[in-house]
Amino acid sequence: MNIDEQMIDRVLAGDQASQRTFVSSSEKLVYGALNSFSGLSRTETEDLFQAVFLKLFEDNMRRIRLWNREAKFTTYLYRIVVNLVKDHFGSAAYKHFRLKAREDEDGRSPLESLKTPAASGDRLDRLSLVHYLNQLKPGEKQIIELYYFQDLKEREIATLLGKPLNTISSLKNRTLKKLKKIIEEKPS
Amino acid sequence: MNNKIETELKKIGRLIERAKDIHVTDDDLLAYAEDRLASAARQAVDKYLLSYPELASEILLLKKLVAAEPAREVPPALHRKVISALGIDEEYMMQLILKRVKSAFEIIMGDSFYKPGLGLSLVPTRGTAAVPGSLYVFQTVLASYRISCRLQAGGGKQFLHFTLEAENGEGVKNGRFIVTEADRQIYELLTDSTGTTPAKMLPAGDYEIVFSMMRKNLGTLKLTIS
Repeated sequence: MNIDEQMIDRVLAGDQASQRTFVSSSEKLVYGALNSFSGLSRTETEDLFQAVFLKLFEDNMRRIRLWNREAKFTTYLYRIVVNLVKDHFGSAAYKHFRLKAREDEDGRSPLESLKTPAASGDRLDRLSLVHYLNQLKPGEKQIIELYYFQDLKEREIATLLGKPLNTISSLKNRTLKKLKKIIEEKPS
Repeated sequence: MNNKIETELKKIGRLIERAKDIHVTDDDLLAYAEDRLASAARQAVDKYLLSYPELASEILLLKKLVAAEPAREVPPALHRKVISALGIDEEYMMQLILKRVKSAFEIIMGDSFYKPGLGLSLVPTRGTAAVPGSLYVFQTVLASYRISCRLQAGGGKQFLHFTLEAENGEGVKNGRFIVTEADRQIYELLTDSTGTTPAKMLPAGDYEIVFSMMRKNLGTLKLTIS
């Protein structure tokens, strides 16, 4: 059953039958989303599952009332799931995500899609690159940000960080290779 | 290939510089995840996300979930835990409270489901090992199925089995009844081609029996025998 505005109105009005239906409809989506993450034990999955619904219903269903009704309720629900998983795993959350999106099913490798970005794929590929950057170690991310985002030269970075020039060159090249490996290995 | 990555990194750097004054709300991010933004707004969110890699990762994850909508059946015990934690009353397809009185049951709750015309009062015959006593039939209709919960009391024990019929009265095969007590599964009963499950002995206790067809949970029966 779809979760629509009418169902949400009845849930907020305290109609228990609607609340049961709402839970039954949304729980499959929440459970499915949580099972898209590896590294969660059964207990952790169940704890997070309960946490989603407790969050929705706490404070007189405040989070349900905050739904803006422009986005689909399922999108809003997934946002809550992602936030809770992020709180659980910290910055490593994205490494645990194992769901293959439809964009990946055309068989193109992420590097190929960087080569010929489609009109809609272009922005997603840059975001994907930023997402992969997030999986580097802090020192590695820093070198990328200083060199590519802040446009500093290697010599300037070496001075800034108090490290030898060839250390910075070497770190930058190693980081690029590592980034390439991350992109090639992980469809998400 | 490294050149490709470097080119994109430089482009991202230039975009990030231009993104400093962009303000994006959570509603914008939800619209972005659903591909609902107009071109200019979408580009603004793109630039914004490039400046915030962690948020970009979250939104990428969200987009993938929105696109795939992965769904999975929830274990009944977990569902009941959540319903209970939220203070929502569980809806049972039947709720029966029975008290054993010699070879019969006193129906404390569930009168409305009781079908006296379908039950039998059997007198044990000499030499019969199994001693069927009275057969009590409780019936309900759910999702176009007629479900009968049949309890036999006799010889100090009670036996439970189910029958499942379609609207035309024909027996339905592969109906599944999972009997649990305190979240522990006791029996899993499957209907045969006549729509009948095997009979199992059931001691006094508090039971929940989940009925499902084709992996879809359709209803729960709450049964208490004292």
